[in-house]
Amino acid sequence: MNPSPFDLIDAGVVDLSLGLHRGTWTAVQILEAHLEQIRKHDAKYGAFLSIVDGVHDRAREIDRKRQDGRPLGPLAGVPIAIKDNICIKGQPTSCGSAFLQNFRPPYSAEVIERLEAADALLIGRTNMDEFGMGSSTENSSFGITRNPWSPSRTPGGSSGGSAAAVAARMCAAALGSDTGGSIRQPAAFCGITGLKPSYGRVSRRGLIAYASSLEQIGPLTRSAADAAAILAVISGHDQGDSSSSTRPAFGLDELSPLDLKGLRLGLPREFFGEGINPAIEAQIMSACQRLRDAGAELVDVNLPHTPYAIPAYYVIATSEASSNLARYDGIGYGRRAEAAQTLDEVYAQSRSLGFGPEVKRRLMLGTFCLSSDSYADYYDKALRVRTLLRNDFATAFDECDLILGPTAPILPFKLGSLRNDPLAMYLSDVLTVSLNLAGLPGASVPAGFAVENEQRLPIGLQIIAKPFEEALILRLATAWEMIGGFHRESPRL
Amino acid sequence: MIDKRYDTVIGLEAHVQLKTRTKMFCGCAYHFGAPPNSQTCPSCLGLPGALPVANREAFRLGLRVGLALQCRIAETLRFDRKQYFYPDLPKAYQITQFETPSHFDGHLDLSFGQAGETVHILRAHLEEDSGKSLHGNKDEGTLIDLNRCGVPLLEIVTTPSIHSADMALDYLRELRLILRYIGASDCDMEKGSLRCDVNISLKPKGSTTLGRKIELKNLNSNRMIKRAIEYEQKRQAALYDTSKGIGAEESRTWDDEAGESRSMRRKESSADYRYFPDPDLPRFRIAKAWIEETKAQLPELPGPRFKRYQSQLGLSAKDAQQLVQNASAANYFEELTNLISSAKKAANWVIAKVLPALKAAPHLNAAANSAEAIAPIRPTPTIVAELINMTTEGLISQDAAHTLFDELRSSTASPQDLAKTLDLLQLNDPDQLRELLRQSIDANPDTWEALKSGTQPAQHALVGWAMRQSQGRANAAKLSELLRDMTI
Amino acid sequence: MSKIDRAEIKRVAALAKIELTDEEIGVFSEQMAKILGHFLKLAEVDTNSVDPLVYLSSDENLFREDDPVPCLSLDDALGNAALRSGPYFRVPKTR
Repeated sequence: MNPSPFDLIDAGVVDLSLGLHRGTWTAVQILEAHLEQIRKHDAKYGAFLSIVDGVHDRAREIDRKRQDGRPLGPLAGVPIAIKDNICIKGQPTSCGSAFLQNFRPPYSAEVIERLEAADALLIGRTNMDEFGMGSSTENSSFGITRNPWSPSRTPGGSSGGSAAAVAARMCAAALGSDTGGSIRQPAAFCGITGLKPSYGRVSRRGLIAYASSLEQIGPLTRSAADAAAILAVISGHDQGDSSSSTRPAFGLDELSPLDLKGLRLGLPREFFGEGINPAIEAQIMSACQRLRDAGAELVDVNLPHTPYAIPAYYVIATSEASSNLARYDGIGYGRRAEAAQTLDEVYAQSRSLGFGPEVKRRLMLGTFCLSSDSYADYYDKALRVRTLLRNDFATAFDECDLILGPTAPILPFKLGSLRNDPLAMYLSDVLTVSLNLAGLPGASVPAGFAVENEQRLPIGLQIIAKPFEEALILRLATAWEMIGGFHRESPRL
Repeated sequence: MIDKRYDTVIGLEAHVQLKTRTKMFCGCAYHFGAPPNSQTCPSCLGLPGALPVANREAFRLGLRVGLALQCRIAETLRFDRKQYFYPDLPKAYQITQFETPSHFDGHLDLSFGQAGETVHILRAHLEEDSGKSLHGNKDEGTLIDLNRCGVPLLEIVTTPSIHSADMALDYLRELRLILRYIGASDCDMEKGSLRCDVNISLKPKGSTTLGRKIELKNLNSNRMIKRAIEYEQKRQAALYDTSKGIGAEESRTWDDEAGESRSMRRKESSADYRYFPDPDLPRFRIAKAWIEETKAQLPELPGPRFKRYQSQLGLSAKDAQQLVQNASAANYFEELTNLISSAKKAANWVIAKVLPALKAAPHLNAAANSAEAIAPIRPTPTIVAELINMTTEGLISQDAAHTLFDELRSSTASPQDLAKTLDLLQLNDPDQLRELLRQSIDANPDTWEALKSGTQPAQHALVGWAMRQSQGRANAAKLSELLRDMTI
Repeated sequence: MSKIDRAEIKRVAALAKIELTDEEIGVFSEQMAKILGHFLKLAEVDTNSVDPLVYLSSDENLFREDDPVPCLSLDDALGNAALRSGPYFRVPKTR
């Protein structure tokens, strides 16, 4: 019996691989169903930049492996989309930038190697804000991506393509990267689950760097269990990344059902009230109350330095970016201005042609902040405030086991509405950047909808834990799924 | 210094390539002279997404140098990025230690040349080398080879504690010797594994205020360093003489052909490198135990060894210095001394035979010129000890011993067998020797008469004739003895 | 502290090797003044007794052993370069 394509695109990571192991369906069938969904809808949404060359061969290879009775990896046949800033050997990897339009890395990121070893199907590359710089996926050199719930609105960013692809059932899961909220905010905007792991949990080798001390690769999925299945494969120390933690990898055995009784959930005052869309606040409070009704205890906590998180974050992120992106000089790879006659022209013209305005702005900001005259007031100061922000969380976690709040203060906004106000765009990251500064893990899980102009717009609940307590986040997320059930909703495309 | 009115103040910045198998932050091997861009990987090419991982051996070698130069060792250290655009620097930053050098506050007491002078070490830190730019023909532009990119460097910076070109060279020579002794670097200026920048300023004789300093770059040999310093002393003295002085600190490049230093673009000296801690690398902590272990493993350094050869082994300063200049030869010497119990004899042998053999085999010399190894040349000290014993016992002549040494460079035969094969054993049979003397007397009756009448040189002539007759095989000492008996 | 005027924008652009049009200089100086002004909110925080947070991880001494690994092939190393000359990357004459 042939499985219906609908079952295949609606099944998640766990079910797909289970069905493949059992022989319910084949990898080729899974692939075809998802490619069909992409063919039908992606012209409208623009989630994908390309389909991975050779993915059909790979699907057949996995099927052959099964027929031959060879052991299959834990993600066998699961179609996973990859954000365009994660290197896949021999495939175009452009980071959403015209500068890298023709770049094909001669090596794969560690996470890609681990996914391949787990027999996952890398299906395609997803759109993103250029070099991860943006919160709307409007800053891509290759066009915008639309929100599957409301095509006139942003899917969020910078992992907007990954989030839209997962929400629109074009893949079972996607990898994104989160420097200041780039997994969690698009997950919230697209009504799916997005997990930013603890700093050091997942190897960054092969992740094209934006801000090295802040970012992590993580999964975007349609359930907590699916996120856990991906994290179990990609986490764990990598000798090729000296910032990856030497702790043992995250394991699925850490995921026993969570008894909400006695669980203390902290609600930071600073994450509610002024600046937060009231519809979002109401929905998050409702979610918290339902968790309390199920036995959890709600406690008020303080994160007093939250108002300084945005400036600290943007100083550090742009400073590191100004250094990380200096390598795009037009010599070894990437765009080279053809008219350039002198070395200085090669640099300045190649970079000016290759980078979009938001990237230029952030490189300028970061270069300024690291200049010898500004270093103390900006960069060094931000690092000190970073210490205070981390201490805030440590203090708060003395009183609670997890921290809850909204993921974003605003609903998915109309495309183009914030384009000319970079500062307003930066400020919308207020609830996500603190985690990156402190290195904490956090997830956004579907928490309901707000209705605006007769459109249902998803709202994300952010769950924050102490470093390396992803398991607790995922256990609460699973418990919440049983209470809220919003993860089962899908957009009508 | 030629000029009596000014004191010269010099500081040196030596960049030393550490002798690791792989690069500082990636696993690429580096061999000088390999085909262009054949020793690269995503990390040293600065490809998007590539990350650095530090090489433990580079830390260990750096630590050896730090300890050999009596430096203090930083407890924790971090790497910083030094940012500037240049084609041979593909990341557009160099990973270096700006805030926390691994080693600081050390000194080197010179043992050779201007012995007794001390050069103070400000800091020695780890960093990565850049690639190479080749300047092709006009149409081709500049060509970039990134093989060298990422090779570990130790930058060793002295305080301004050097007073002359000669002292600068004495320091560099001894530094190089020490680094080779401890196996930290080949220090081969021709291959660029030792590169040196010179900071130089003048001040009125006896003044304690430093003058404005000039940085001299592009000095690729000792000769160039000496010339450049002496040129710069004259140039600066002339500027002070006309009371103009040095306008601004600047970098100058040495043009060896023209024999002059030239100002480099001002831009380079006013660069804003925007140093900041490299977020891709963790903090490093040099454990006390590691320091102690490394200290215990350091070999005897050339200075102390030089003194010991004179005071304990009774060698002349000249012989001691010759031996100490080559660690593996000195080790050979010590081994040989132990076997034959005569330092003097061993020294003569090593200086006469082992050192030239090493020089003739540069690959052996480079591979073994560290204090850990005995020169890996044949014949081994044990064999040479046998040769020496054979001469002592009169079985072979000194000349024959030297010939045998040369033969044993490529032969595995025993010295005794080889001596027989080559017919080098001395003629010791008194009857045969007397027969030779008789022939000599018969052939030189006048000389014989002269000897009998007491003319001593005549003895040498008669013995010499006999030697020639025996084609050098006769035992000369015994011939003389027998001849003396015959005259009585 | 530097004032964010056109001259400062030009200085920073030169350091960052970004060529800006006159118009961009105008837009950037306005936007950057506003953004950097917001960044200076940090000055409100007393950080005198606070150390900078440089390392998120407590892991130290992550070393690699000195064992060579295979290098890239020449084609992989140079394959993405816009201009090459045989086995070399190529740039305009630097001197």
